[in-house]
Amino acid sequence: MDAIADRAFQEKQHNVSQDETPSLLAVVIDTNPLEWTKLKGVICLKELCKSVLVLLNAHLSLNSGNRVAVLTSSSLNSGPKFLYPDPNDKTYEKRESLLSSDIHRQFKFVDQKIIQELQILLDNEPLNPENQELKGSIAGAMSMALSYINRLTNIEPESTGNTLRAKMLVISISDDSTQQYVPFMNCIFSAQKMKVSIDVCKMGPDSSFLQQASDVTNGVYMLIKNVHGLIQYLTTALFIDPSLRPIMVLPTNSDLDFRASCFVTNKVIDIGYVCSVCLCIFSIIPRNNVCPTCQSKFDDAVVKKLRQKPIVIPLQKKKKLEDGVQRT
Amino acid sequence: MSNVSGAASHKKKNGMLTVLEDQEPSILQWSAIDPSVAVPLVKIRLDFITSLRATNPNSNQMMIKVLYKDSSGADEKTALFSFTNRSVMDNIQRTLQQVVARKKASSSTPGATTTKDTDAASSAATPSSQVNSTDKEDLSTFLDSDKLLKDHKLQQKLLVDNKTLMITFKEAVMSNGLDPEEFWKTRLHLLRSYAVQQAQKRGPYNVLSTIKPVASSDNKVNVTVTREKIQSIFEQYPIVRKAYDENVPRLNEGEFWSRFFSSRLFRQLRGEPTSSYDRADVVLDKYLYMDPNADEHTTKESIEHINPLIDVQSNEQDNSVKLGNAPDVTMKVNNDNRISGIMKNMNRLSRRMLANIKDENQDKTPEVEQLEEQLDLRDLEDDVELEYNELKLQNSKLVQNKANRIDDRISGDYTESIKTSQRQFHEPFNLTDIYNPTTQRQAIFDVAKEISQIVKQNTKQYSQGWQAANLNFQDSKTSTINDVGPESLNISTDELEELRLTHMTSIEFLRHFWSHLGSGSKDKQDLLTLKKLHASVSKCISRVEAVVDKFQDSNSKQTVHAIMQPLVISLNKALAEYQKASSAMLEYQERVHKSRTQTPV
Ligand SMILES: [Zn+2]
Repeated sequence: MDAIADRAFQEKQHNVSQDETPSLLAVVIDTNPLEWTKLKGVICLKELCKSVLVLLNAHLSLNSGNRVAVLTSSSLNSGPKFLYPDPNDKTYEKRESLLSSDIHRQFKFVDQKIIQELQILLDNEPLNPENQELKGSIAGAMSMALSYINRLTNIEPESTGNTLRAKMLVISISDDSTQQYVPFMNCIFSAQKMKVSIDVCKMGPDSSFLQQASDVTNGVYMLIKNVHGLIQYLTTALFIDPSLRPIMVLPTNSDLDFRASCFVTNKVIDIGYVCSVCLCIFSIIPRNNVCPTCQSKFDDAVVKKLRQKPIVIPLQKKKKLEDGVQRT
Repeated sequence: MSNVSGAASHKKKNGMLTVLEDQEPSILQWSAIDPSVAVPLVKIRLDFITSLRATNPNSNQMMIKVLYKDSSGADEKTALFSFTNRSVMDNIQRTLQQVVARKKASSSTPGATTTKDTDAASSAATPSSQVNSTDKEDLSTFLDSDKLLKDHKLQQKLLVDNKTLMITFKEAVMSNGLDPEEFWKTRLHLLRSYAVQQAQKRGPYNVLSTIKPVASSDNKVNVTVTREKIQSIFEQYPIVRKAYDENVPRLNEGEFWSRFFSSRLFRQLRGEPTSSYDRADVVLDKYLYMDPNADEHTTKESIEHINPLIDVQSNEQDNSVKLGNAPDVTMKVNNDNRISGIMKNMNRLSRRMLANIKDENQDKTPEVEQLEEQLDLRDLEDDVELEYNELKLQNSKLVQNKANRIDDRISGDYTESIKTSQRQFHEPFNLTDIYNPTTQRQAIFDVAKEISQIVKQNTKQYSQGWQAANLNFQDSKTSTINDVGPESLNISTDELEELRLTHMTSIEFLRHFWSHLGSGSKDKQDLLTLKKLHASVSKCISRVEAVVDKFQDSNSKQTVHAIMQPLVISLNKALAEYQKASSAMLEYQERVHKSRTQTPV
């Protein structure tokens, strides 16, 4: 009896010490204003923002060493941007706090900052979108988040000795057709190499790219069916600590679409062509026999062969010929 | 070593019979002792000797009959020598027998041997004592695609080694009539890497110890040596190279080697004790006494030289003050010279083998490397520039425009939506709204149910195997049908195996189908193959259907159907593509046909 109790105690101790490792949660929020207009009547940015703030507070409250980072992907006035922490440590004129005064001080510090930055981002958006161009992309924000994660998990611990785990949550509302394949895949593979899981909170249409991102990195992909329960998704399925991932059955959607999309037409394809230099994929043979991505010139003879219509022995040749004979 | 000679009489005249092997051409010579006797010198070229006959060892008469052909090659002549001393005769007889045996073995024109002496002739016909230079083809021929396709031996070996491939081969080629060449055409890379793998050389080893000469009854030595082995012999035993250089082509190559393998030199190099009773060899024995280290300066450079004065390790082991010569067997009075000779030989060989190992860092410890690195004068070196193959990634304008273009239809909504957002972000944030019992409660409850449902489903769907794969973070993306355990799918192992086999075979045919369809070949044979493949693909569909139909239970039937569905889609896609090409061809033919009939002749 004693021995068993002893062991159980030790094991528990061991687990507790493992759980002590703090983690960084990096959230990428899709702020593409054009896509948000499509979600009108479903959910608005503010509702999402509120749920995200609660998620961040929850994460911060789990461990005093836990940290958060929040980034936006795109807008008409600015590309990917850190909402928190502020890389430039700007000081603004004191604004009226929109949060309740009895909120925990540390939460308030983070939340306030995020609301303020979003406020500025939105205020700077032009009201007339004509002649405007969208700046930034999810992939851009993801790579910024990965750089930050790399700094906090790999570079800083060298001097401070504080180890940190990290995970990423991408909240996306956009269609894959607005994304760029190569930068996206680069992000996915970097995350995989860094062992950073990418969880995906997907609203709007399903995304094959993000499905692959979470699949490759052992993350959770969630297509949000019920926006009113968003907080439940965020604080359960999308809230799994990196240390628990290997031993948990993840609540992820397992039906994956692994197809790539064409670099030229941006359509998802079954069968296509691949540039042998940069591995980009086409559904059609690019113009001038030149790879539109890396400018490699394709071999004319090979392209000619590819363009050729397949030659086959027709299936009903005999029958047709007989018909022909009868006709003459 | 002198030439073998002995007193023998020829045509009743006393004389000396000598085998002159150290001259070119080697000859058997008989000369009368008394120079005044008017009997001509007998000279028989050793390579003209066709066979020998000797009197029975038990008989009183001691005679050797040499059958030979002269340079004209017409008639066989004989020369008869009689001896007075048995041992002299035996000695000469043995030498001549060797000569004949060697000649027969290495003779490039076996027709030269007469059939008179049936025993000798038949033994010569057996290809036993050849120096078998089975030239292993060099790598370039290995990598030739055509050669690989024709190398059935290699293919068979690969199939035996690779069980999965064997199963596919059996299914596709043996059971379903896929052309084996087709099968291999898509797997050239496998053949190639296998061929290279097979051609990999082992590290150096004592070659001579692997050569086991087998003495046959008629004084021949049977050895099979490959070209590589000869190469390594030269590398490890420069003395053999020296002997070879000096004697070939005076001796032909085969003769040199068969001589070598029965020589004392060979035994000595192998580390076997030699005795004076061993058969002497005029040509090779002189190398026994040459300094085997004479050439060593070439390899010695690579062996690190340490001044004996400061060589701590050697001095510790070889402490003459403490122990004298006692620990050193080779330094004892009653030391057997042969043994120390062998030891020297083995040591020399080991040194040489080490020296031949290419990697010079082999025995450097990491510490030594580190020290060396510290000694490098880094700032005097040029900076090493990393070489990248720069890819100029350009955002496809088309995609960019499409993504960024602001649709007119949206633009009205946009203004309204952005205004709303702006306003909302200036209004208070009440975070407790999130949990509002009246508006959110039911939704939160539903979502919780949804999530636990997904977890349940995932738990059921993936077996332990999948989870194990998941533990290995990197591998988690490779969860395919192979990782799904049959028990979780309610399918027996046998059934799953059958599904896999069907799947594998279908993919095999699909692969060939597409490679042929895309080849653009107009060759009739290729077109027929393609049509055959089309038929095979259709057959694959019925095979899949048959497998699915086997499942009685509707639940598992549904599962199996889901598993096989992607395959059926790809099979149908292939058929549709052929159909499309076929219709296009027919249309074209019809057009041609019409235009022909319309042209007035
Ligand atoms: Zn390219």
